Amino acid sequence: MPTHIATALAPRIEAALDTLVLRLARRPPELVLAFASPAHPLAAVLEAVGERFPGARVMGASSAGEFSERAEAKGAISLFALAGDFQIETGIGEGLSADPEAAVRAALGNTPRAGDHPCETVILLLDPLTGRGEEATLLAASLLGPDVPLAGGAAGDDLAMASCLVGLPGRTLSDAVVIARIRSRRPLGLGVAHGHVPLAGPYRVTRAEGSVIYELDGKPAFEVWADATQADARTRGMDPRSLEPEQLGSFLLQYEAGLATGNDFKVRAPLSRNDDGSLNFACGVAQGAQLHVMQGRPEAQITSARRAAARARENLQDSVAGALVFDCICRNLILGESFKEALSQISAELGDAPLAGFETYGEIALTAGDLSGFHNTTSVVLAFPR
Amino acid sequence: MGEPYSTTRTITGIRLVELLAPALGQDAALQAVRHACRLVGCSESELQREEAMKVLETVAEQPGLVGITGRFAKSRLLLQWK
Repeated sequence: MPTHIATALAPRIEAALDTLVLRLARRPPELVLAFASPAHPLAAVLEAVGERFPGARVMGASSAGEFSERAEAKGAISLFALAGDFQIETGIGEGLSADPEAAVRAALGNTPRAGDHPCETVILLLDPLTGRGEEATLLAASLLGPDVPLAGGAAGDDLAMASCLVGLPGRTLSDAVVIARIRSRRPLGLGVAHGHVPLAGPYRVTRAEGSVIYELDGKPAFEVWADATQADARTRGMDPRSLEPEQLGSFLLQYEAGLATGNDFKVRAPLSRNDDGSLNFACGVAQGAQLHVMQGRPEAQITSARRAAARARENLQDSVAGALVFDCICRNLILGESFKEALSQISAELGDAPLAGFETYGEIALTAGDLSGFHNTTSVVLAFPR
Repeated sequence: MGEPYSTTRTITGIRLVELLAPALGQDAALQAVRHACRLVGCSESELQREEAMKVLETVAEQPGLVGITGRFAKSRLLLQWK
């Protein structure tokens, strides 16, 4: 049975579902993913999707921007439907911040892989405000073994940094992780790339606890960030020391942290600032690490999106039926109107395949040889074989 | 990552750092391995298989991200160095 992927993007769930039904052309989906702005209660969105597609597994997350291959929107809902020869299981785990292993185990469940569907790929969606992005990813990878690639994204909330939700129909939570286990006859193709370079640093993390960095080089973390970015931020119309509260999230996501990992930088997203000048990150950062303040220029963001799609296509080694895309909100902030160009480049690289996804607060991509799976500032592309 | 571990009898501390660095960063990974080597009582320059596993087990006992990364690295090293 050939794979068929349908996508939809609309300002209302009813319109999105009507579009999806049309594009599915009577094919029953095995999996439907929904990504919804906080303007639309996620629980109601997932209920509506579940009622329209009672035979499908349904899963979703709140988002910071929604898109398909045709357009990008704010305050909207994007849907991704997968029809074809797949076996899907979904699960949810709560209490991610207190006990990430228990949450990941609960979400994974324990269904054995079927012999006639020997390949497995796992999609994770999680609440990044727990600061457990990398922990959850590495735990899932440890539990699943090296043959199971992981893809996914951290939920968003339109930059409010207040409540990020994930869910299944009938159960929508913050402080949680949801997982879809996709069993297939052929492997899926996964690609990830970022386009950031260092702006300043390095700075040593001299005090950190969990996902909170208190001090860099012995100074409050935000003070270091403000000094390092002041000149560049002014060229973008921002003064780091006089930001309005609603500007802070956008500022921090344009100047993320680069963790030197040897030959490259792993980018880590500061999400918010505390009153004591410490910064909250989307995943743990070890004390003693050295960080650079990173920046990303628009042209590099478009190139890296296409590179992620090319890697996904190469890893697929098949023609592409469609793709899921998890794209960092920071890239949208940097690209502005040009973000649509990045989406076009991804679709073009995949042979004009349909795609859908959301703007995230973190991305997940881990394949067999990888030793880390939680990213920021990246485009993650998961391509499905036709 | 260099030659497969299965073809070697020993491993260097730097190889263990490489396993941890993608999640922790180079510097924090180096600190974690050095600290664990001291606790285990082995040299960073050359570790037998059992010593390497013990070092990663010691890293895995740390709280939070460091511990989870140590556990993940050990599972991957076990697969590469059967």
